[in-house]
Amino acid sequence: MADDILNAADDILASDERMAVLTVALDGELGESPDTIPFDASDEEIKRWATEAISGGTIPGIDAQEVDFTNYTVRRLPAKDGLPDRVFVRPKTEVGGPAHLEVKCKVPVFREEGVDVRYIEVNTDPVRRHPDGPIQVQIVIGDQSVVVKADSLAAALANAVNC
Amino acid sequence: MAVLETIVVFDLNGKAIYWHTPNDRSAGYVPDSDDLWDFLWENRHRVGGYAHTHPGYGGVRPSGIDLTTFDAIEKGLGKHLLWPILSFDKMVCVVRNPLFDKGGAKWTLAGPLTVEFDWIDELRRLSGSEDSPPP
Repeated sequence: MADDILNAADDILASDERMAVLTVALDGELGESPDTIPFDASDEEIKRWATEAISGGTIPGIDAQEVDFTNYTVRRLPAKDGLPDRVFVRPKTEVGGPAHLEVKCKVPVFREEGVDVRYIEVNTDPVRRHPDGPIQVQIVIGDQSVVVKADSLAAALANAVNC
Repeated sequence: MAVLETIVVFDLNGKAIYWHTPNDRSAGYVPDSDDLWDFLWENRHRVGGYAHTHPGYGGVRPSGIDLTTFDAIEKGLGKHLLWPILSFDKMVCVVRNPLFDKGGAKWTLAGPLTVEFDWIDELRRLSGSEDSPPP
């Protein structure tokens, strides 16, 4: 009896779940999955479902293949103009890096009169920085920034100490 | 004018077809954009490349974020593009390396181009070059 109630509750919850059409941009095609997915699922879940749908060849117009959507983004479009809720999995378009580094360490700054040093960040994250690049130190001064190699700073410091 | 990274999308003849100057861009970053993606998608048959600035002077190289974005957009559009990156006095053009499967790097720099870009000065101006004199 208890199981029946729980199952019924699950059915009600499931029927109330907001479902969306999954659309993927790949190889110059815009493929639509025949299966709907929860509109409010996490980006990670949506990318996983998209990956499975592509590898399983269930999206018409897109050849079955192994695909990595790590550098894709998820866009949710609420129902409008007679169209249902839609979830798009599409490539990201961002560029840049130094101003968007994951900050692992903030360094105190001695302020100099007339120089608007806003902050200094040290990025040690091997994923976010250039794959072949060194650990970076970004110095943001006013609206401009400069990125230098951490080992260069360390070498300069060592030389200064030894002088 | 503040120094800001800026993007221009150009067609197969190298002519500018879309200027991307969102208010939330900064000196070192242009965030993801639905508008930019929509333009790239709707014009995918005539898009030849996507150029952006690294405001400042001196040599330029793509960041890790740049390269993963190049890779994703080419995957989505199903075509290879030219990816120029400009400082206020230098420019490189990044392309996918056709020898990648032979052990080369995934991306490489294009050699001399046969096309002339007429958007270079404007892209640098929109990135703040006029208020950022050479060192």
